Amino acid sequence: MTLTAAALLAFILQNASVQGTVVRAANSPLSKATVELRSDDTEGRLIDTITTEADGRFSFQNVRPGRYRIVVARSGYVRPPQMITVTGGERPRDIELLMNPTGAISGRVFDANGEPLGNVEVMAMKASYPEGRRSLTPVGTVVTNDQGEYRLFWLAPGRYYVSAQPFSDRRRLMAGIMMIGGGAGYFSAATGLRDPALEVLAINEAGDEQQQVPVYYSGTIDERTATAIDVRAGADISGLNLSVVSVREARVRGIVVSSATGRPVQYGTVQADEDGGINRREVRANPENGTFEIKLLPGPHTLNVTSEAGSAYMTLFVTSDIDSLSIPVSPDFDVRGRIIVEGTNRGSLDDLRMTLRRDPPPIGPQANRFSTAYSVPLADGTFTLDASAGDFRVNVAPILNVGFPSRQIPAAWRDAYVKSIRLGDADVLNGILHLDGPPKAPLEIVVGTNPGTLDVRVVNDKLQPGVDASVILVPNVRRRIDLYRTATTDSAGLLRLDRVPPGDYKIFAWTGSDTADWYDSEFIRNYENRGQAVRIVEGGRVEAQVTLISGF
Amino acid sequence: MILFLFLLLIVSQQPQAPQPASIEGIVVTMGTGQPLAGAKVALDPAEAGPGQDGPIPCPNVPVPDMPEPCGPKIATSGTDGRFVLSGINPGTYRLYATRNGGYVPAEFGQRTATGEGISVPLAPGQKMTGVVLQMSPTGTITGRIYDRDGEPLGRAQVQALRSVYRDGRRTMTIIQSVETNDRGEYRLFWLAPGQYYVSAKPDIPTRGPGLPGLPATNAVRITDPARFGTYEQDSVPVVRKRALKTEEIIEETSIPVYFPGIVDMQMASPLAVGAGTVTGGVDISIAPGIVQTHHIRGRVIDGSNGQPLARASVTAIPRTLEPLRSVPAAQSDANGFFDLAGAIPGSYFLIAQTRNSGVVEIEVGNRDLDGIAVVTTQGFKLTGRFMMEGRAADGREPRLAGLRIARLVRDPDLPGVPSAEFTSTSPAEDGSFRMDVAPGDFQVQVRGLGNGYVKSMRMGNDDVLDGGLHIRTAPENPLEIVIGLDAGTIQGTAVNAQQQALPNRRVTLIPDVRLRHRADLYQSVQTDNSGQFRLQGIPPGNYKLFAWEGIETGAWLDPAFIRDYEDRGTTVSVRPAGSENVQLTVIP
Repeated sequence: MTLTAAALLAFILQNASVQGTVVRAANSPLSKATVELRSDDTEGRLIDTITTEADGRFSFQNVRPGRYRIVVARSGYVRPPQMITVTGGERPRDIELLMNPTGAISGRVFDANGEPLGNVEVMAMKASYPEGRRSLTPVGTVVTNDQGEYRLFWLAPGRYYVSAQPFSDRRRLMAGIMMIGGGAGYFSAATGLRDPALEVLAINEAGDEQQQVPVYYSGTIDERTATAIDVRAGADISGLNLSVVSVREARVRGIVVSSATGRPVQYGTVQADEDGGINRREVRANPENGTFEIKLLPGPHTLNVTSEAGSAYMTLFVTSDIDSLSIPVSPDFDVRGRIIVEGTNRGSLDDLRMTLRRDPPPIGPQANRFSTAYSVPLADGTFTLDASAGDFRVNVAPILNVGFPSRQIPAAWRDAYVKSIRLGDADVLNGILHLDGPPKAPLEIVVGTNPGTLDVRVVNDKLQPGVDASVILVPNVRRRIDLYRTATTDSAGLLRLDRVPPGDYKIFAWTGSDTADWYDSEFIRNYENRGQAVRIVEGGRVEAQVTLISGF
Repeated sequence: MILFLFLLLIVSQQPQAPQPASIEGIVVTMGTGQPLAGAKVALDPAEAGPGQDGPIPCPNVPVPDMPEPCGPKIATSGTDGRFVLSGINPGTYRLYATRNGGYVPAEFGQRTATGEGISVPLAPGQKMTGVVLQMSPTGTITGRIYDRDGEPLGRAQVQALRSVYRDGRRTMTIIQSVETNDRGEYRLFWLAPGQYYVSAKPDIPTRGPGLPGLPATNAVRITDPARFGTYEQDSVPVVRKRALKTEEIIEETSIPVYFPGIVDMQMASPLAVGAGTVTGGVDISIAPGIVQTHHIRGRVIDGSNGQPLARASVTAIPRTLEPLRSVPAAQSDANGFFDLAGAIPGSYFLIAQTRNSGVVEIEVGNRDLDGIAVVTTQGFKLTGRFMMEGRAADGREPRLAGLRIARLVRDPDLPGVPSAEFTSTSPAEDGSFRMDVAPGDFQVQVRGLGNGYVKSMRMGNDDVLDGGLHIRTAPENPLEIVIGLDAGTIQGTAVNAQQQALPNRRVTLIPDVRLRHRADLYQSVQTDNSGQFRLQGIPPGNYKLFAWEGIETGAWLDPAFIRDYEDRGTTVSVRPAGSENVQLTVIP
């Protein structure tokens, strides 16, 4: 590319510079902060980067007019990205980027005999709520040393769960094989002699019935009962010790029976997921009498049973041997229903994909296996779904995604929301669809197309505008994860949420903590009375003022 | 893998149960001799040595979903350190002990904490008693890592390395790798006693360079204590831009700094780690490792049509033996242009890869390198032929179909640098084969030789066996490989000055001085329980044999090392199809 002098001049005049200082407090600049200028779009393309010196200063020259995100990374500190708008020819304004100190959690991990356990992965986890149920996802991992010590550090203020995940011998064996194939690093041809003693040990122990399983603070192997730890800015929480238990695989014995006749079934197969869905165990039921025996590590499991006489789905938390588990299977049946779309402004019914999703969802990342095949409504709104006995939630993609709050909706359906789902008297939308067999009544779905608008003003204790505040709209039916909305206020402390499905909600506003924590109903409970209740009606516009919750 | 092993057990079961053998012994702490409880003692089938049978497979293996190994192959030492393994099928085994909590694995016949053991032959009905397995406690190195301002550096990558021989040259290899915490503290643990180097580097590599076959690297890699076991690691350099006082913006990266603060691996100071000891205060500043980096820019051209090649992965692999390679990497854009950041001065193989690949040797100096063209080719077709010559003394000739060119080995031999693709895995009936080779200089490695040896390897007038394979353009002549069948054997005993036979000593066969560059002429074996050894498949010629009390693995391939012991070797002349017998005095 060549530019004439005039064009070059014009180019320079139009472009501005972006500059400022990274600080940890007023007049306390931070060195070694990596400042990135990124495009403000979904890609977040990196445009330029610079690392600060002792004066904390950064500057980017020749930045084209547009919207950008400034992302700062500095060990021991965090802050959310800063949005900026660059207009041509303007005098550079100095941006001060205030960093928030991180926290740390430390402790020791012991085995069942109280001996320190080395080389155990300890994870800081955050809750997320796929399918409306708490699920823990690791956000940071460290490894214990030979004294069992760990230290999880540089944690952004927020709510965490801590888990110790010993390398089971099976995992160790798998890791060993992967390493030989070039896992973490690679073995050299000439010197890569692995000690065969380790492999022999791993192979021999992989078959052991005793296995170490993940443990969650404060000492549970059930992640559902893990205790949350609130890490505040600059906190150093120590003494969070964990004991890893060696557990024996439990023997689960049972029988697969037909729910219709109560008689044992033929060709029954029982499947269970292990290691969070990484592995699967499968056993066949005795063809004579329908009995089966499967070995499962203590912890949560999803059993999926198939047979000639139908199928069954069961989640169970195994703590010890189970001797007489009866699993009734039933044949698949049809669920008929009808979808009614109100109003005239609507898309084609062909866009809709209806499925039934198991409730509770399966353990592990296999959710899709437990969703029925989808069905598209006919032109008159009628549909038929394939189902089997059990509890379900009804999913109407793309307008009702029961699992996730975020949604991408085609333009024609943008105003649409599911208003009600009923089976006879039962409220299936806010409750559960319980099926024993083919339902007598049709499943009735009503879709509304007249949402409301919510204008929020955030103020602090002194009634000053709450700038850059995070706001969350929480439905009164807390498990309706699909209705949660989050947004950030502008420089006047205002924000507008449009296309809000009618219903009762609460609004919370805060600064400094992670959005994800607010999906945690336990977390919200601490701040319940700080929320502002609002009711959204069809086509209505509601104004609400919310006071900022501070002090995380 | 587990399944595979079990299948082996199942498939190889025999109807007749032989008279079982047993082993009894004690596990003790090396040094103190204290009995050690809780050690797992495991028996593993070994490859049969000369004159030995392999293990007789398990009888009557049950076949549920998780089959039991036949007989107790694993035992745990009791509070008195004692263990019993019984019901063992006769055969040859290796006997190991491992224990949690910081002990180096022990093996039967081992002579040092990190030495190799020796196989255990068990005859039908044999009751072996009095076996002592000595386990050495591991050691620890601790310290802190500081950044260029002298502040504690968190998430730095700290590694314990050992000096090893590779291809006859000294280099280092990673043993354990840990991260510092936010206070800059680290603790390298589970180290077998020995000499270690410690290196520190900031910038944990989170993403691998996407080299073929080399996935993302992890900063932390703790293995259970091991006698040997090593690895190397690739990462993309993390480049930081910084404004100088002059307002000039420079790019920098960090290369590993070795204790006590040295960037030249060869000049680093080793630390002695003893059994059960903690070596503290091993503090390192990463400041000396901060170096200015440069760019490598150019274009990838598709050799088949001369057009620019988009989305080729371009990597610059340093042409030195390093345990921690920093590999600048990028992708070519829509017009074939690439821009690799983070290169430090040195020699590299610049490699462009899509389905085809291209390799260019480049030198990076103290400035950006521009305008490099990398032309990818499918490689050149190389045809060749294996031919047999002579007759084997024992009539056991290698199968022609089993012969293959295992690898084309570059110098230095570096992972991630393409060399050859085979169009056929084994030769045709007439011994002919075809392969696609990349341009470069190679040694040709032949496998499947059995008792045969590579007698000659020629391409046209070039002696490839002696001078290597040099590919620049499409080869005009076939590669003719003659397999000699008149290989010789050497057997003998290693003894001490008192003429006592010594088991588990290393015996090395070193070619004549003029042929020391021929890696194919070297051999090494351990003496067995009775101090005997046997070498076979030896090309006729003159050699020197050495027996060692202790020698570092691979040191015998280093001509400089051997030079110091030249007069301690025993000269042996191997005649065609000859069998020589020698007695070697072990070099203490």
